[in-house]
Amino acid sequence: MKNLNVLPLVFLSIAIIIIISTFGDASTYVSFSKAKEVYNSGSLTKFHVVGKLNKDENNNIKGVVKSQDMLSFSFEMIDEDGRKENVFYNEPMPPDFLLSEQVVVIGGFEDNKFVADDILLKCPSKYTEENIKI
Amino acid sequence: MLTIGDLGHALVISSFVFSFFFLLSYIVSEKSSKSKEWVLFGKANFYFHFLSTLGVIFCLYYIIISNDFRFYYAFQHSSKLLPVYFKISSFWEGQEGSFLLWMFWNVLIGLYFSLQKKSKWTTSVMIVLGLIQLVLSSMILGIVFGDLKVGSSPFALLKDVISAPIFQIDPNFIPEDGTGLNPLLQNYWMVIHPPTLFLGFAVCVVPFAYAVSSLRVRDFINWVAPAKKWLLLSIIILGVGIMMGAYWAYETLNFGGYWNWDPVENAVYVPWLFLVAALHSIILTQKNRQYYKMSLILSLSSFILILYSTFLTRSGILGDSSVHSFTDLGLSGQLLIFLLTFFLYCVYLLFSRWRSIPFSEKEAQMYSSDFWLYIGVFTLILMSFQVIFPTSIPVYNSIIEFFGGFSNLAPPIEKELFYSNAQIWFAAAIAIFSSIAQVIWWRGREAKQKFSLFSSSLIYSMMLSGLIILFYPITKPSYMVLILSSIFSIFSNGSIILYFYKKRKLISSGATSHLGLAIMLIGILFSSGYSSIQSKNYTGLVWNSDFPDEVNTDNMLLFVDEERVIGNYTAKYKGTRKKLKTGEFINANYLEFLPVINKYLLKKDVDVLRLKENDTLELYNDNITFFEIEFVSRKGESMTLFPKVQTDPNSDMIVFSPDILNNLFEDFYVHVRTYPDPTQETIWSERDSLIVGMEEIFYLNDYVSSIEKITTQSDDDNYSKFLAEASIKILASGQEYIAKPAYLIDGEKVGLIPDIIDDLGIKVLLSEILPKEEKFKISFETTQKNWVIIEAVKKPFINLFWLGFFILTYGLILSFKRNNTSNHV
Repeated sequence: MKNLNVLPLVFLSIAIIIIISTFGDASTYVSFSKAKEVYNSGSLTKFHVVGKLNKDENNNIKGVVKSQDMLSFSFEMIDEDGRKENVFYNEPMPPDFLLSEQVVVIGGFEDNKFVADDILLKCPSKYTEENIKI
Repeated sequence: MLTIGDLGHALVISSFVFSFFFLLSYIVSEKSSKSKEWVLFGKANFYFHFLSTLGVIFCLYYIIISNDFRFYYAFQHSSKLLPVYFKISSFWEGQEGSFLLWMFWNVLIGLYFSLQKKSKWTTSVMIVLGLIQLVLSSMILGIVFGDLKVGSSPFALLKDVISAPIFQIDPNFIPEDGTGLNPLLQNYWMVIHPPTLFLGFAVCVVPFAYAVSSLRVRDFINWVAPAKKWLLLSIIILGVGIMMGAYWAYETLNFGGYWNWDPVENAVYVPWLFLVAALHSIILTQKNRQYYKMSLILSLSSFILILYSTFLTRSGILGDSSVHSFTDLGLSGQLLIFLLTFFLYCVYLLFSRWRSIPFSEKEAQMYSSDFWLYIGVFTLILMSFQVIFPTSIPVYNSIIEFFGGFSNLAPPIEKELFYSNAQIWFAAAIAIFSSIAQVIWWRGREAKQKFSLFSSSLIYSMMLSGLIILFYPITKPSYMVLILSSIFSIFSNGSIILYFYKKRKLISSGATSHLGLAIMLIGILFSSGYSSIQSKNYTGLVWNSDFPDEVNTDNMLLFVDEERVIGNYTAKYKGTRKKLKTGEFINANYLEFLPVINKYLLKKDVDVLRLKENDTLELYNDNITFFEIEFVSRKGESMTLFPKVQTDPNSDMIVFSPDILNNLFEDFYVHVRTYPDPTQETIWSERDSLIVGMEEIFYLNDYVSSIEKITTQSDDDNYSKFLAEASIKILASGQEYIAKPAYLIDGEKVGLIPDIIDDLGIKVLLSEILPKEEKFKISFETTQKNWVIIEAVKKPFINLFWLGFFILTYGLILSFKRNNTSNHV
């Protein structure tokens, strides 16, 4: 029985399936414009978008709206190309949200609105602190 | 003047230098005619290296424990108030300390081998260990050659690291306190999880060292038995270390589970699977004197994968996608050199010896256990590949960008589903292959028709899993396959255990481990696949016409003292609590601020410890707030959970931890998603006033209230200084609160000191005293009552997961003992 000769083939084909499915399922970092373009072409693909919260000259955050029951909220985000977009998130606002320096939203457009499935925050941590409180 | 830091830094350099000399002497001893002398010299150098390393550890620990905030490491990772057991965690919060921890275990292993009788194996193992120690100690050297920084010293002074303006004014400035330990690490599991994991890493060095030695000295046979023993040990220790981390995550982190497919978790899961693959390959090699190449490659690659995971976690390449990542210390180049040196050396060794490695043309037969073991090994490799390949996506981006390209590849959107949907099939395959291999291995000679060995367990498992699938019910095909294969594995491995126990009064270690694995798989299937959110909010209200869809959220908003239905329970949020140093919970609203850290004055008599009004209390940790939530089941049984939040005054970091009700068949897991931010300013209503007498009932924010007593203080008879404090009793359903507003006269001036009951949203003032009428004017402002947003999740059969792991580990320990005493499989 030469069954072991078939094994490397099976092994290789599974490995190739894994590689293909990884690249198939991998997401991409895009701008809001790109995400909108894809949505307009009829696809509901989800993306990673990197950006910042919308702040005015005095560093006050603008455009955050909490739902009445506080279980969801929306905010204005400016992506790396400078495009502003309203992002809707169906989860309570994380307590450190307003402190974040950088936001990554994972989601896509639905009914012409950008809906985030998940939000990753980059907060100024104590590690980058250059000052000592006396 | 020499400081402890200078001593520490000198010891780091000495540790580095002696590791170089002990490496060199052992290498020379292999070729030299004065081999014995060189080994002795090597040993002596090793002992100096050993002592220097211990000395470094002592110095750093001493700096932390003595609150010496001149040093950056203590300032950065510790603080005065931190209890001693958490100061131990401070030691390895930073990269430098965790490298030291790794080195510590490595030198203990080195000590073991240096005390063994001299042989080509011990010499070669010491060489590999020497090289690793050389590289590890270079990581904490902290020496700068021109533009090149080698390592990051844990003994750097604060003023050299941070260029704060204070140092220009006063170069000798020493901060009062450190910035403290990350609240995530202030947990007892973080005191033992990292050392166990690093011990696991250190033990993994040994099978790797044996494999390298086998290639170096061209002895491909005799490395197998000792390597197997150490492989077993590393699988046990690393496995326990990983599970401690899983339990820590379950108990402390708020993502709701024990495993999150976080890149760093993946980076240690994969080497563990490779160690298991290496063990099974070595079992095959030992039995058949075959597959030497496979065993060598697997033993080498498990350690290379550990280095790879070190590189991923410490180089900063993963960015912020992981909770475990260390801060980038700019060591990525050094880490990459570390990884590539070992990788390329292994590749070189394999290629140069490839033709001399014994090889046999003999093939395993389909009906032999070898065949099933063999494909089991390959399943493990594929299983690992499915995890490590996507985890490395940030690495591909960096490589492409390094060569001037552009790549915007991101990890899969739903990583939990992405990984678990694939892993489930591999796990099912492992359960089946391991059962077949075990049964044929032990009982293969008994039956001509091997199939007859499986018929009964196959029938039983079909019946049992059929019932479970039908009645639970399980509808997903992959879940059906996993449950069938796991139950099949329980029956077949169980039958082997019974058979041996009856026949020889022996517990089969292999069958026990695989039985444990099958039980674990069932636990994972139910607790993850069928974890159900109980706090669904079915109001279905569209809160904002802008929102694209109708919203059904997984979270529930609870106001103080209002009931909500959560799953089979009625939940009621009873308010914020603090924990006393003695462990009891106390209503946070009963505490009156004192200007001493962690100490408070009690506002009223309480049942807890029969404490009296105006007693001084000491809290366990002022930065932790608990939320008392009572759950009453339909049968009327009540239970109380205390999920918590820990804030870090130095870093704005907020960590929510769940509270879990452990039942035999399921866990009820509750965690707080968010709560009113204490730093945000409260918006109060217009002030209202009323005039009341003693013990006359009035309403504050709809709560029944009355003045219980008035206490007065005055300096002299003229009443030029006078203070009246009212004790107002406020009744909320089942709980009594006390507000103590005060009225103060100082000469001509009148002051009103308000009191605030946060949980009820009331601010009360005693604004006038009307002595003639014997009445008082009470003013109040109101705001929203306190609230929390929680998520409650049911996790069925999670105990099978932990139980299965204990059985698995027990089987491995049995096997280790037997391999350690004899060559019994």
